[in-house]
Amino acid sequence: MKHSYMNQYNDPIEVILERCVLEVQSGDKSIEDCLHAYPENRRELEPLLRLAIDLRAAPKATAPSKFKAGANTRMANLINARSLRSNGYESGQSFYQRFVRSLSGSWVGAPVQLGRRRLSVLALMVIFILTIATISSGVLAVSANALPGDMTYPAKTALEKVRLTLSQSDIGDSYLYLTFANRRMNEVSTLVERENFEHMDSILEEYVRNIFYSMSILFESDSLSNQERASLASKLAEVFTQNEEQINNLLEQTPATYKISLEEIQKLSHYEHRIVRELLLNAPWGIYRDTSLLAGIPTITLEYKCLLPTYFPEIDWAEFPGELPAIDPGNKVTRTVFPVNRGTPIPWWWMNLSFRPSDIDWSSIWPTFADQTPEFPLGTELPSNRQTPPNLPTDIPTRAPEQPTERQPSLRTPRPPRP
Amino acid sequence: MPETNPDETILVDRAIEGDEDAFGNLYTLHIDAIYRYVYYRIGNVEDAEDLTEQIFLNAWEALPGYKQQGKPFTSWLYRISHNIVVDYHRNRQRTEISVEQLNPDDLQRGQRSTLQTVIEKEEVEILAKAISQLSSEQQQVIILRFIEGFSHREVAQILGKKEGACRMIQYRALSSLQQIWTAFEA
Repeated sequence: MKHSYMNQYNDPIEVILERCVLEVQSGDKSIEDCLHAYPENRRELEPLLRLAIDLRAAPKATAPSKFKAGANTRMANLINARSLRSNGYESGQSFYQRFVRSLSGSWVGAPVQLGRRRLSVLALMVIFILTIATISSGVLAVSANALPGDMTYPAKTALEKVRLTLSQSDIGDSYLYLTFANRRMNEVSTLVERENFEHMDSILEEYVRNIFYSMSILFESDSLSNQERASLASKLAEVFTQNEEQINNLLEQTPATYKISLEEIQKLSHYEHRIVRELLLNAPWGIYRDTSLLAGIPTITLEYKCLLPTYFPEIDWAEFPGELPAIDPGNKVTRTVFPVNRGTPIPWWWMNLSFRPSDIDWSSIWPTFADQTPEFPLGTELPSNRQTPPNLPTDIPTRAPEQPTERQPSLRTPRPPRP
Repeated sequence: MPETNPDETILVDRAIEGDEDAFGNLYTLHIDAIYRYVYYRIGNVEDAEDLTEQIFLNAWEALPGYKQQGKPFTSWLYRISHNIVVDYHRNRQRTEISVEQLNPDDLQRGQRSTLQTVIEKEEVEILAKAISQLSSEQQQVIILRFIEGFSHREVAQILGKKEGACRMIQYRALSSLQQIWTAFEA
């Protein structure tokens, strides 16, 4: 419907403005038509109207693809974490739902008291008495293999609590939690073997709880160094791999009625495993040529990512010449400094490492490296297979020959495309 | 009144029941709009990302108490977003962005308006920084009305204000924004 402007001169400016915006947007009028209809308001109206029309055509900001790509995972993680915070039991909930609601913390929140703790005098006394009482009663040795339902089982768990209390660091706690998680899983295995399913759920709960606390430390503790965090993540990945296999075996031996808990634990384990893998995959890394270590022989220092091949066998992350004995892909690389060439000058492009592209920003988890620019940016595609470079020298010298200085290849040079 | 999407209504019902997948779908559906809303209000990408997540997380927590009353889910999300943005500004020493910070080198002066140049160059960041200087109400109206394209009635509904009031806010918002551009061009 077209308006008769002649009757609307008394309208306040905001009304006129809105009317003009609508009419221009709908195509009923041009800006000039509207301005012409309100000569008295023209001076004030024109810039506002033009601005309004321009704004409508303004570029639409969209959430960065990098942010969106990892958004669902992060949100799922956050939701899980929040769910874990809330207490309460609702009928009809699954074992896992009941369990997570029973926990009081989260990876994102504060499930465990992080940071170095100071023991109160009272706590020390309690620990001392507990320890003495435990040892003196001879329960210690007996309880090691105790199972839920055994008389000595409470002593076993009490001792675990003592160990946790005595641990004075987050990293120490986290490994203890993992140890206890493994114990719980072994206990479940034994119970299943004995076809004793009575305590299975409660032990599985304890298993998840221990994993959960360890995960909390991994993601939240400020006291972990990058190396510790990477090691812990790798350990967690190892535990997940091992336990998932164990759960698979257990599922084959467990009657259908008891399978639900195991299946839920398995799902949870897969989820947590994935998170840990992503954390590892996005760990900071660096490649540095350190000539001081081997007198002019190029050496590559690998930080943290060295741990990956152990737990990510499917990732062929380094494109090293396969024939060099020092780079046996079957070896577990666990050192942070790895003399790649062992006295052999390797053509520069052999040293290029490739990492899986990532869409998740883990800089908040790895703050130390947040501002460092990787020499090979994330996004470099993984090599599909390892190939021996065509110009691999057959006669490998034991010392690096003098390199011409003007064409010294740089690690920063992009890798040439594959033929 | 903004129309409710029947599919969305089902998703919301499921999310209220605690269905994380349904909520994930809602998240995917609205992440851009909410991000955009936050981004234009604070003018900072990183913080906008954080706040967007926070908004959806708050929404997830508040969902059990959410009642569908024929209003679109987005209205509720925008309410939450507004509260989060207000908290953000309250908790943070607000960084005043002067017009000099609008990176004049990126803009070409000429016969065409600065905003047009910004639009042509898709300088979203500059526009966001300018919008973020407006008052809270003005930001909301500009974003919802012009960036998101809601009608006055819808904007009024989201803000919980009368249409007349929204119209006045819109006028003042455009005037303020115009002053920002004019100051820059001068």
